[in-house]
Amino acid sequence: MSKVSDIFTLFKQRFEELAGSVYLVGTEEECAMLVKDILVKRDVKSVAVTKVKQKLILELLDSGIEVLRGGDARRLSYVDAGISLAEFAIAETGTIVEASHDDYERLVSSLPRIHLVILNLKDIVHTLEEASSRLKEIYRRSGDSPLVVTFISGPSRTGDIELRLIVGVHGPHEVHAIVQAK
Amino acid sequence: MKLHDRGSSLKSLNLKVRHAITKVRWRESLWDAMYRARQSRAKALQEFKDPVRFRVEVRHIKEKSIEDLDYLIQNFIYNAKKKGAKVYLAKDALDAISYILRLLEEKNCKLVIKSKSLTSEEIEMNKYIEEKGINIVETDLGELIIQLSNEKPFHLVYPAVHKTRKDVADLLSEKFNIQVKNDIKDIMQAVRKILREVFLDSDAGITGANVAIADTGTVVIETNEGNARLVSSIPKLHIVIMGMEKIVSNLDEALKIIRSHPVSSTGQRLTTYVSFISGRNPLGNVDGRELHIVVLDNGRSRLRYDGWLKEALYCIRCGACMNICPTYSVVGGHVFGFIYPGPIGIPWTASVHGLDKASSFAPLCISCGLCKEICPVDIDIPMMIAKVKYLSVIKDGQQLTNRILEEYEKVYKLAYPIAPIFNWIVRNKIVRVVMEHTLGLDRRRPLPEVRYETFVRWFSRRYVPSVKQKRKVALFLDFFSNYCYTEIAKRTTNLLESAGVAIKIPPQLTSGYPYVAYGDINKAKNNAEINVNSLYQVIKHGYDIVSLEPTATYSLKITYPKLLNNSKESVLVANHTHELFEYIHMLVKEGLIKLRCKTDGEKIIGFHIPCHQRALSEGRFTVELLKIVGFRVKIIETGTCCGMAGSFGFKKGPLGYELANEVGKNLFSMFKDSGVDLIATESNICRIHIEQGTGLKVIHPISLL
Repeated sequence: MSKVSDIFTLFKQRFEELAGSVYLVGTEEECAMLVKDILVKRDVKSVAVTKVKQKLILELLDSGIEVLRGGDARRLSYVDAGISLAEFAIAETGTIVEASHDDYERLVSSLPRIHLVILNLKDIVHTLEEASSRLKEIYRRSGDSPLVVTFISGPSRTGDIELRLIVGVHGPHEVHAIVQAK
Repeated sequence: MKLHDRGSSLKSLNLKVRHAITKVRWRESLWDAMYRARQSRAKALQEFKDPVRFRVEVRHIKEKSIEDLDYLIQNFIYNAKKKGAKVYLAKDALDAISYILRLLEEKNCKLVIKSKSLTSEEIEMNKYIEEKGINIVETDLGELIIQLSNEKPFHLVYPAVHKTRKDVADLLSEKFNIQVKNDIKDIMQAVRKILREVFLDSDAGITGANVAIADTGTVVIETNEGNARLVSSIPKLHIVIMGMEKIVSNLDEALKIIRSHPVSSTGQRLTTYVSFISGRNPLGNVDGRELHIVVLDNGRSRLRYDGWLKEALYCIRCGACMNICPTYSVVGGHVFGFIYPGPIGIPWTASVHGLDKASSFAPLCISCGLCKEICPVDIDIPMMIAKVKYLSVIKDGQQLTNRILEEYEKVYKLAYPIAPIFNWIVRNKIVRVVMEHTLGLDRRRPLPEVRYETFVRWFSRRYVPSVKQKRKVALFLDFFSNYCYTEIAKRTTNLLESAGVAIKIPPQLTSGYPYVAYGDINKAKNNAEINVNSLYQVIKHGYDIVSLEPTATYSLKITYPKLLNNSKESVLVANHTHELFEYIHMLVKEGLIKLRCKTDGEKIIGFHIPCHQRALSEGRFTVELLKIVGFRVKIIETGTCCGMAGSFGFKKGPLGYELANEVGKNLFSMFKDSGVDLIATESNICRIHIEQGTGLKVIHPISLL
């Protein structure tokens, strides 16, 4: 599977099987519009962001949404949504990969009920094997600094009560993956 | 003194089993959980291009890692420290506990949050922390539920599967003084709200690790709920407690394990979250954030030197063995386990908690072998359990009933000359009552009746037809076709000879598999040696071996090589052994046998796959041949054992006849509801059990050809 569109289709299929949502946008502007749209639809009043472009932040502020760019866990726990950037994604398993040198970034994608993650179309790899070389690059780049790499495959879930699958426990109830073509 | 200890341990187990059998609702939930887990695992496995090869790769990774463990530990410690983590190598449980307690006290921790860790349960960590007045809260929903209800886990992956939503709602309402509705969504909201505050106020977070990577000093944590992410990021102090056997060399090896584990555990491709943690990330302006990794030995390094038990270290804690274990399915984790439950729990408990604790539930293993079939690392759990039973027998002696059941061949050798008398005796009600009291054989179970002439005798005195000698076959009869259902061997002989096959019956003992089931490994080895030597002689003269009884075939192909350390002869015998229908199928394909369509397709045959046949052909040759002669065949299965398990189903009481019937209940219902006219199975032992349990006629498929 070498065609980018096939890989995207597989990623979309697998991520959505896991109760995540996937969108394809063209430009940064479209991305920002979509983010705003998703948040407004859900009545989001405040977001915590990490690594996102300044342009997006301005769009959000314009819409009257409070934007948090740092803080502690308690601050973050009052926020409605988190927006982060992914390093890459793995189509075969429907997985988003984040890398953080600061646990604030991890909390952005784990504390709020809603998680939006932005990534580039060219950064979706097909298999776990292909992911390996991307990961090794991340480790190389990090040297001896502390690092946490996280695989995220959909919203949080449990089957602990009567084996009924419930989505949304301690982690996000919704995960929206916005894939930017350019 | 010895006998008394074993006696009371057995009595206690019998009582626990009887009690567990009454817990109908728990059992239904457990059965459901296990069934669904097996189905979703099978579905997830279908996505692999070559699941067999993948399993071999995973096994190889674990073998290599355990082999190189000394080096890997040093490499892991070096790289973890480079990233800023502190690492402590704990030699045993108390060593680990005192390190952790010292640390918690030093950092003035009052509230500790935890995510699921079997290793922490192994060392009973929670108990010691609570004794110090420190509040420790489980954040994994299943673990939280059992923590609140003060119970042990019922299932490895779903510890609270026996609790209904009402149980959980009531529990939460009571413990937290709130009103939680009897609704799963409501329960989740409540749990999220309650634990949110706990997460934010906590001073320390303790997690386990699923894998550790030596090259990068990384610990890997898999979770679905998202709690482990919070436990490992919010608190100032993060402690990881993990067994040393978790360490692999590099990222690629870790990825294989991470890809294998969820498939067999919950049928997922990956768990929702996989966190690869190297060192301790900062969080805002918080000073003094630390990561401490406690690498636990507690008997593991010693285990590496045990030829058979060493494989326990290959376990990746998926729980699949539990999901297929027939006796576990009836009694659950409270009975089948000490801290580590299920089949793999037996060797693990023996190694880290002591032989006596393992012996207290090891008799629950009925040696069906299914755990090995389902294990993603192909761990020889059945033989590890046999070794634990062997060590128990050395320490505490062997049960009388087991000794008698093991020597069935000797009994029937004396019985057949007086066949009519023997058969009358074993049918006599009074005799059966006496046998139950003295020998421990349940009176309700019909004993196989003996023929006055063994097959071997019949074969030796008959006129041998001259055959074209297209092939030469040595028959391995085992017990039933020689002493009881001799027509099976006679029909086989006629069929094979009609195909131009010359038949020989080399000197042989029965397979001796009950010795393995009851831990008498040396006696099993003895049978193995004798049979292998005899069969090896005929192989040298160009004979193929055809074995009539699935358990005997399993013994020849799988058990004997293991018992005899893969000796040249045992491997050769294994490779030259064929199942009966596998061989007939081959002859049909070669045109040596022509099967005529016997029926008009009206009869529906229900086919039962014996456990030991699952490791061989799974009965597919038999089913195909039955279809060729015109029968409609339905495979009826629950996916696990029928419960008879060789001689186990003859024993009196809970650890025998009763448990065998509880295990078989669902299968019996399936057969009765299936509308089949007749049941066919190649195992003569399953046959007895299914006939009695369903009331339907059960026959050996050879009589249908």
